[in-house]
Amino acid sequence: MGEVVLNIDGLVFGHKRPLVSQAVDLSANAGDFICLVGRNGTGKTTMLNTLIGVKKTLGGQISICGVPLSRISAREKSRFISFVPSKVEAVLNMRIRDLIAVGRSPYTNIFDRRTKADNAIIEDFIQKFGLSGIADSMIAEVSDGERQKAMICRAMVQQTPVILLDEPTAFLDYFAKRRLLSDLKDIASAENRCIIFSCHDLDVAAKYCSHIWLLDEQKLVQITVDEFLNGGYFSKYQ
Amino acid sequence: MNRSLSYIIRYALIIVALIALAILDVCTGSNKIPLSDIFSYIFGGSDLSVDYQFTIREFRLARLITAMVAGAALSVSGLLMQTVFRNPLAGPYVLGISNGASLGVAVIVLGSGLFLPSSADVSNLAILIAAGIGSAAVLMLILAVSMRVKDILSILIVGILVSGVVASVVNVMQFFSNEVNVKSYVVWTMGSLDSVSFDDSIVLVPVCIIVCVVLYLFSKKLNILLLGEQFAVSMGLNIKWLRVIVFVGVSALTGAVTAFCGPLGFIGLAVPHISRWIFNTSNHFVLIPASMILGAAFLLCGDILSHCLYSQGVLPINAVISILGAPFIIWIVFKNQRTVI
Repeated sequence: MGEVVLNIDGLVFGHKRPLVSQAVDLSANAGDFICLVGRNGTGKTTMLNTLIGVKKTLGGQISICGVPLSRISAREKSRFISFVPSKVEAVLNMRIRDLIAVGRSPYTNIFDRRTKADNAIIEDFIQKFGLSGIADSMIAEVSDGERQKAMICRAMVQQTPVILLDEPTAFLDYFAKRRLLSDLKDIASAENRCIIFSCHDLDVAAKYCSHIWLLDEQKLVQITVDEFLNGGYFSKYQ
Repeated sequence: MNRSLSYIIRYALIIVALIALAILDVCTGSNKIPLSDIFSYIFGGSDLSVDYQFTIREFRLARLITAMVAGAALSVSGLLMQTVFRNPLAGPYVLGISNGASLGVAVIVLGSGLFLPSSADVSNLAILIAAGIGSAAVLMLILAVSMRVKDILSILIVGILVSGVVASVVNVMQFFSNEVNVKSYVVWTMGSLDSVSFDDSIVLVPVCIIVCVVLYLFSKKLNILLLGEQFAVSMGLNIKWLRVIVFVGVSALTGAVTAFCGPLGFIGLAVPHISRWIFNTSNHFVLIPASMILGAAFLLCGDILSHCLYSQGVLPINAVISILGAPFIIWIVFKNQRTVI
């Protein structure tokens, strides 16, 4: 068990009206690989958007590594938490390496001038993710899966303690889903990051994640994978 | 390393092309002026007659500067609109800014027949002011919408609707106006680089350069914005303010150009794609200067052709650049069916 990196204290989230009936108190450790489970419309995406700052909190506080997110600027926040959208845009004339390099932008100046150290980090993670072969390809020319892998690599390069992924398995086939989640699990423990992802593929997710955050009946609670598998949730959410 | 070298080579090539086109441009016109005379005018040759100097300054150099500045301004505007709307078919006119300018001009030119005696002539200055007020009014509307609305698509829809309404209002005014005024309005919409005086063209230069430099400083944010708005927010961008800054900048550029030259089409849409194609990148630090150079070169091409193709006079610049630009748009549609900006 790593140290506590994410602390959610009395959080209320929603659009104008709260989506949870009781305030959320949760914490997550470095190395955790957490699956956010809930039916459509229960507020998974809103929860993620609240964490990354797209949505304002309706109450309570989120802290990362002891730093309350409300106290720091949006730019500083991007050094604490990074986000991988479920579908990565096929931007015209952008290379995989450029996409990954965006991960260093929270640390660079207004001209996005990267230091040697920045570039070394980028190259290091390109190697680790096995993306060397396609690093100079255009992102519009590679598959959805490869593009997403590059986006996850970008989140690593950003070196944030917490990484959020919005339905990373949505556009992948069964084998690619297993592969991705297994890789993410390894990354979480090897790099000691806290990775939180929302997912509807519960059978696959339950195999790999360390805990489950269950969003049900307007409550968000943490349960273990065993509790989840034996609690009859499976049939309810599948 | 390797890549920056290839950028430098490409920049060098397009700058050479731009200089060549600029030289060709000052040499084209209704009467023959040798290049040596133009150079001796620029570098202080005093042996030229005053009339001759006037011709060089007001007809050749004014046109050259106007073409280059207008081309650069519209291309940068188009590039930024394509990024902010994340749509390859966006251009400087999607916000309806130039339609606002058109409305202002229409009110002055067409309305003059309704309110003033037909002998009254509308001055260039009045047209300028009217165009400025018209585009500023539309900008205010767009800004008010974009401060309230999160979804960029809604802003796009508002822009298109405003353009439509304004165009209809102009149509109604044309219907009630007399032939002479309709003709002078229609001629204005065809665009012209020749009607700008040397002093006015010099005013355009700093406006364009300052706005482009300011926008250039936002390149890093624009590069992030390419990857989606939700992602950009997660990277710490304030999307609303970024939009406002880009909209104000683009409005200043297109508003100024439209006021002086009329609504010049196609450049803002086509040139950003040419820049992406030549430099093979999506990086705004590279694309903004590239679009400026290529936009200037593109409009010079149009200007040269509009002076050369028809021996009896000057073809409308808008028609010429549309004919030049259309193949590029078609190429874009075929090439990028699956991708997003």
